[in-house]
Amino acid sequence: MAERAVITGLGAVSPLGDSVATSWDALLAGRSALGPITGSDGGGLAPPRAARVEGPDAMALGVDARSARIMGRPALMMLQAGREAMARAGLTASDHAAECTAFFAALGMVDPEPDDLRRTVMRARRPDGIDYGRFFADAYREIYPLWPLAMLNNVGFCLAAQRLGALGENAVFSPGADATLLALVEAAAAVVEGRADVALAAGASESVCARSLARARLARRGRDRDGMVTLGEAAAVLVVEAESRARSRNAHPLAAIAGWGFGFGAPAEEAARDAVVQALERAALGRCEIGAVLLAGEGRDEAGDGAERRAIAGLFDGGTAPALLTSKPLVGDAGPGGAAFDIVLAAMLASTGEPPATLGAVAARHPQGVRSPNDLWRNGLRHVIVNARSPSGQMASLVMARAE
Amino acid sequence: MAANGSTRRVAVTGYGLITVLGRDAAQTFARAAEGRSGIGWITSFDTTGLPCRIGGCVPDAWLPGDAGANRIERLGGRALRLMSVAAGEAAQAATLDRIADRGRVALTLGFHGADPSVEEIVLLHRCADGSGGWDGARLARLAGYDAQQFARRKPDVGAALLAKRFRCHGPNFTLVSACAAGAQAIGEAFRLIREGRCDAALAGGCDAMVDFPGLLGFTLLRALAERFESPETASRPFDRKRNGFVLAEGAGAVVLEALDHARARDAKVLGEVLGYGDSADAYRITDASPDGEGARLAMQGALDDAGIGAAEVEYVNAHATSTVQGDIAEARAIHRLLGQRARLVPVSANKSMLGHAIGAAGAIECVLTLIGMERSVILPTINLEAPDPRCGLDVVPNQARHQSHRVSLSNSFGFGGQNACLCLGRCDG
Repeated sequence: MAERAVITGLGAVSPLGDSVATSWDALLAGRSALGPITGSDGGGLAPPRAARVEGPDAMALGVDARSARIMGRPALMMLQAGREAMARAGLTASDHAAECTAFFAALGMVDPEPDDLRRTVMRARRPDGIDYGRFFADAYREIYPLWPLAMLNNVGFCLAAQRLGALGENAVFSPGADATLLALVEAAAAVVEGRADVALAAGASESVCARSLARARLARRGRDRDGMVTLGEAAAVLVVEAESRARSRNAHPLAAIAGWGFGFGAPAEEAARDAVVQALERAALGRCEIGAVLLAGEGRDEAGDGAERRAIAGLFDGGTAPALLTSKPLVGDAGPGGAAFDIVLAAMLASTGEPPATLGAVAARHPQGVRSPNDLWRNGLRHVIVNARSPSGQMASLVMARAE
Repeated sequence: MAANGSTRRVAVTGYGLITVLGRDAAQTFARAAEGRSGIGWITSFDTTGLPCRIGGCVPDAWLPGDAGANRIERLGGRALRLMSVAAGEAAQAATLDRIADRGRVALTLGFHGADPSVEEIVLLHRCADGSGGWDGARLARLAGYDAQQFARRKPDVGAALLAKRFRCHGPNFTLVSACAAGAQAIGEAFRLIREGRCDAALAGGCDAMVDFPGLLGFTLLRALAERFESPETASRPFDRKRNGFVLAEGAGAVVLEALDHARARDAKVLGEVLGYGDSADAYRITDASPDGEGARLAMQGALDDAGIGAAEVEYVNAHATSTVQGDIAEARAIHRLLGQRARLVPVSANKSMLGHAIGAAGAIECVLTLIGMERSVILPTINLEAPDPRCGLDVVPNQARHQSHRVSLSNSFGFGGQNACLCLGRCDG
C-alpha cells in the first residue's frame, strides 16, 4: 500500500480564537467573528465589516520589535500557529533535524505600511499636491529603510521559518486561497517522497486594512454592488508527516491527505468541477463517500461562488450529495489563511466527528435539499472536501480522510 | 531515477528569453558569449540624487505591440509584458499549442507583482484622515487613480493572464521567493510533471523593478553597487572590487514536458531537468549564511533528487550577484559540495553581464545554462580583474570557454534566505 501523508499537528489563529481549541469551541458555540471595524482601520469603506484577529503579541512570541515590523501581522500569526501545530504534533527540536524540516506556505498580498512612508510623503507635500522634485531629490530618504523587506512577502516567511527551525525544502505561493492547498500538496509530496521528515504547510491572510478593503472592493466591482466587503484574517499551520514515520514515533494522525486537484480557466464552473473530479480520482473515492464539502465561497456571487455550487450540484446528485459547509459567514474571506483554517476545520471534523452547526448554514439553503449536517454525523463522516479559489480563477480541491 | 522512485524524466522542449542583452534566447546567449554587458545609465526616470543610477533596462522597442498581449499590458504591467515575450518564444519552440489536453498543461510563475508606483505612494497622503488612519473610500474613488494598479500588484493575476493567453488549463500558481522565484517556478513545474500531476508546463520568472520604487528599495537596503568606473563594469561577481549588485529586468521561460510525452508527439528535446533542490538559510534576512550551508543544502538536494553524485557536476551557473558576502558564501558552499574538484569545475556568473533581474534571474540563468550545454559553451564572468582569493574558484574570467559539459547546476538564492538549485542535463537523444 502506498505511503500516505498524514496531519499530526494543527495550529490556528483566527478571529474566533488564538488556537485551534478556542476557535473550535467558538464554532461549537455558534459565534461569528464578523462585525463592524472599529477605529480608523476601515478607511471609511461602508459598511466596513470584517473579522480581525486580536494580536498577535510579538513580544510574547519572542520576536524583537525590528523583526516584528518586517514580519508584519500575517507572518506573526503564522509563527504563532506554527508553534501550536508543532507542540500539538509533539515535535521538539530534538525530534527532527532542521534541514529535514520542509516548509511550504501561502501568503496574501503585502501592502506598503503607511507609517513607513508617511514622513516621506508629508515632507514632499505642498498645499496643491506633491512636490515631486523634492520627493525624488531627498524626501525618499525618510522612508523606513526596511520598508523593502516588508514589501517582499517571502521575507516574513523566512523569519518565521527561522524561528520554527525549518531549513529544508521551502516555497511561498501567493496570493490566493488556492495557494494554500498547493502548499499542503507540496508538503505531502515532500514527506511521502522522503525529501523531508516533517513538513509544515501554512496559509496566512493579508491584514485587514484600508488598502486591502479597497482592493477587495475593486476586485468585486460589478459583482457585488452593495459594496459589502467581509474580509477576514487568519493563519493556520499543519504538521505533515509520512504515516509510517508518524506511527513510528507514536504520533497520533489527526487526518490523512487523500487526494487533490487543481483547475483553472473559464468557465469557472468547469474549473471547479475539474478540481473536484481530480481530487476524487486521486483519492480513489466514489462520490457517495464524501460526507461534506467546505466551500471556497459563501454563495453570494454567481460568477465565482455560484459556479462552484453548480459544479458540486452537478457532481453529486440528490442521493449522494454531501453537506455543504462554509466558514466564511463566521470568519470572513481570509484568502490563504482562510483556506488553511478550513483545512484545520476539515481535520477536526474528520478526527472528532463533532458538528459545529454554524458551518452547516449553507445546507439549509441548498435548493437540492442535500443531507443536513446532523444526518451526516449520525452516519459517520469519513471524507471531507476542502475547496479554495483565487479571485483570478485558480481553483483547488482537497480530500481529507479520517485517519483510522 | 529520482529520489522518490519516479522514473518519469522531464525534458525541456522550449525556452525563451528577453533580457538586457537580447530580445530572445539566441541573441542573449550570443551577446553573453561575447562577454558584453547590458548595464547602462538609467534613463527611464530621473535618478538625480540617488547613489546608484545604473541598471539593466530592456529597450522598449523589444516589446512588440502584440495583440495577444493587450490584456496583459493593461492588467499586467511591464514585467508581464516581458514574460509574455519570453513565454511566447518558449511556447512556439515547443509547439505547445499542439498539445491537445490543455488541462494537463500547467503554468508556474516566479513573480512578485508590480512595484507600488510612485503615484501610489504619494497618493497615500491624500487619503490620510488626519488621525493616523486612512480613508479607504477616498482611495478607491479618487479621480485619476489607476484602479488596475491593484491588479498589477497581485502576482496571481499575472499567472492567470499568461495561462489564458497560452491556454494552460492545468495547475496554475505563483511563487514569491524573491531572487529564487524563477528557479523555484521551474523546479515546482518539474515536480508537477515528474509526479504525474501534469504532462507539460510553461514555467519561468519575470521582474521589471528598474523603476523608482524598485531602485529605491534596494538603495535603502544598501544592496546596490555604488562605486564603479562605468556602468558596464559595475557588476563584478567574485572580483575584489565588487560592492553590490546591479538591478535589471527581464524574463525567462521554459516549456517542460514529460520525456515520453515529448517523444510521443515528436517534440524536439533541448535538454533535461534532472533534479531540483531547495532550502532555507534560516540565518539573517539581509545576509546569506556565511558558511554557505543553505546554498550547499539546495545543491546537494538537487543532486540527490537527480540521483547523481557531486563528481558528475561539470559546470555551475552561480547565483553570484556581486555582493561582498553573498559571493563568498556561495563559493564556500561550492567548495563544500565539490571538495577538491571545486577549483577545477567551471563556475560562472551571468549577472556580471545581465545584472540581477530578481524574480526572473533563476529562469534566465536556467535557459542560458541549457543553451550552453547544447552548444558546449560556458559563458564567462566578466569584469574579473582581481579575483577574490577567498572564493578560490575557476570563474571563467572574461571570455567564454568552449567546453563540452553534460551536467550543470544553476543556483538561485533569494533575499530572505530561500535557496533553489536546478540540476540540468544535456539531452543527447
